[in-house]
Amino acid sequence: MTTIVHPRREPPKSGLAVLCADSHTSDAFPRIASFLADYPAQCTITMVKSGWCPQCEICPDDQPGLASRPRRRHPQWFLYLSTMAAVAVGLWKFACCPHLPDAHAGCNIYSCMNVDWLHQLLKGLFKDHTWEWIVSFLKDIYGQEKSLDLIDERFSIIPRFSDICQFGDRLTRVKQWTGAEYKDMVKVRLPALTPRLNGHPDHFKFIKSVTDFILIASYHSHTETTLKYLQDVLSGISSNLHLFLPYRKSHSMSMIPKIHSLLHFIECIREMGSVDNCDSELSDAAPTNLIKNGNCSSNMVNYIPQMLRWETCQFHIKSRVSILLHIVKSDPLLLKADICRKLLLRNSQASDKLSSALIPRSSKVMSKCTTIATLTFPEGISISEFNDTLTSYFSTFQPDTSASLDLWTCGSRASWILHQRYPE
Amino acid sequence: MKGVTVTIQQHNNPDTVVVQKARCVEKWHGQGNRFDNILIQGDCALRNNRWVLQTGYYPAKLLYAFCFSDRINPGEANANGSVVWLTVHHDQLFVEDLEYLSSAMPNRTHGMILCQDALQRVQHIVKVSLVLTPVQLVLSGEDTEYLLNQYASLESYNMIY
Repeated sequence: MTTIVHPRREPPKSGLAVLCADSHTSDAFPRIASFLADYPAQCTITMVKSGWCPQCEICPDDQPGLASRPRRRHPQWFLYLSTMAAVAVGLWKFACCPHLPDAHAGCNIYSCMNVDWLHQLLKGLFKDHTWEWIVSFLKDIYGQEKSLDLIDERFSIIPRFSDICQFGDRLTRVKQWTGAEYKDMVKVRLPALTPRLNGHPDHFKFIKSVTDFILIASYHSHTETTLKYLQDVLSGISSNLHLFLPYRKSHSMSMIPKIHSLLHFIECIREMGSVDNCDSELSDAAPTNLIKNGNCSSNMVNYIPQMLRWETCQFHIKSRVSILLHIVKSDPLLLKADICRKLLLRNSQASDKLSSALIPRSSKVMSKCTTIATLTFPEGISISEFNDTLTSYFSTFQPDTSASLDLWTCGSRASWILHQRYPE
Repeated sequence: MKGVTVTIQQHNNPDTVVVQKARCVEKWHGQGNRFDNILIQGDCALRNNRWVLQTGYYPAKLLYAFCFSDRINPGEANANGSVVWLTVHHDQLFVEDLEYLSSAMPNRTHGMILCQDALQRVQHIVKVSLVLTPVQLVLSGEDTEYLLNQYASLESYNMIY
């Protein structure tokens, strides 16, 4: 811990020369404002015993304590505590360790501990606890094997939707999940489990509150109203938590710091901004993006210079793509924009970003036009009558949906031709 | 056209947009037809106290998407004296309406809105601009009864109460 905090001990007293963007050098006095880490690292940096909360003095036996208002920790109190008294509030105090207020000069390190959406909500609250309890509850109702089959069956019939993965029919047999799959499970868990939890409204209310909490907490910006919603769903979680007591080995909800940490979400959002600013998802994804992909691009011989070169190339490609996209978006009808669009379409990654809205109609190349019908309407037909006639025609019509349908007028509004066009 | 794309402002970053797709294709890489569902802007029922009815959001099954090309005379003639015709394209959808159950009131047990295939099929043509968002409908366990999944994305979560 001394190693971690050492570089930050001197600057608050003497200042640190920092080169600013305007090429001037200024004296900076850096402070720790927010600290994002998993629970063991938070315990280490704050010298809190495992099982205790790094932010407040609630006893592990009194957790989760979602309806209580425990006293927040403060580094000044640490100075006056004896070793025995520190143990009573869940703190380690050793003669060899620096005094906590001195080590973290200028900040309250306990208040700097930020909440983590990925680890505390998705992995902790959702997967490790709630999901396990629900599966155990369903096992009690439907039996050991049948319950798993029923869950798998429900998740397998979830229809495809934008950005939601398909779970297949062996969901409950999968041992390890990624963060993206947790997110997708949150999106479909409620409709998937609805028929299986019929007759258990309180259990359903608990799952709904958990899902609402996860979604509302992920908002980019908050108002007093959204924080009130968050408080309401927290009350819903708190009031129905006892339903799952039989599925805990200890028959108690104590000693679960991740559930207790829900209590600190609202105050952390107030003090340190929305949760998506400090999600550990980005830092967790860094090894994949920066190391694994780079390593795969190399020939595995003397790979470090190759990885560095690959990262530089990626940086250049990204900046080029962003410039081209900017030109296309600023005025899509310019000739220059058309050239940029063609360049973007050559790149598979960039072409995904170029949404179809930015491609003008003329650039969609279609061919193989076949006429499938000629529709004739009486002269002077009104729009509503026209729509009704067309509707009745489509009701009895089975077009080839791999082609696009075009309805063209033949000179007047009395006669129309229905084309099918096949893409090249 | 094989479907529609709806461009929605991303909730967590309003500077970027999410392109959501609803397809209406018969043959695709999966098995069976794929007719996605969409939420369309209908008439608002102001006297109703249900949010989705107040706002006029109605679920519908997307059957076909087609382009409607109309030729209109803007009242101009060219140098030869012949009439200039202007072709105007309209992207249209052929949809089948789904109807809400319990007047779009959230179910007492699970708090989700239910809808079903209408007893009498109502199919009609709507403009693409009336499409608010694709919507995920999950079978509720009863035949032809669907749960409107507002949790499918943060955008639909904020749209459907």
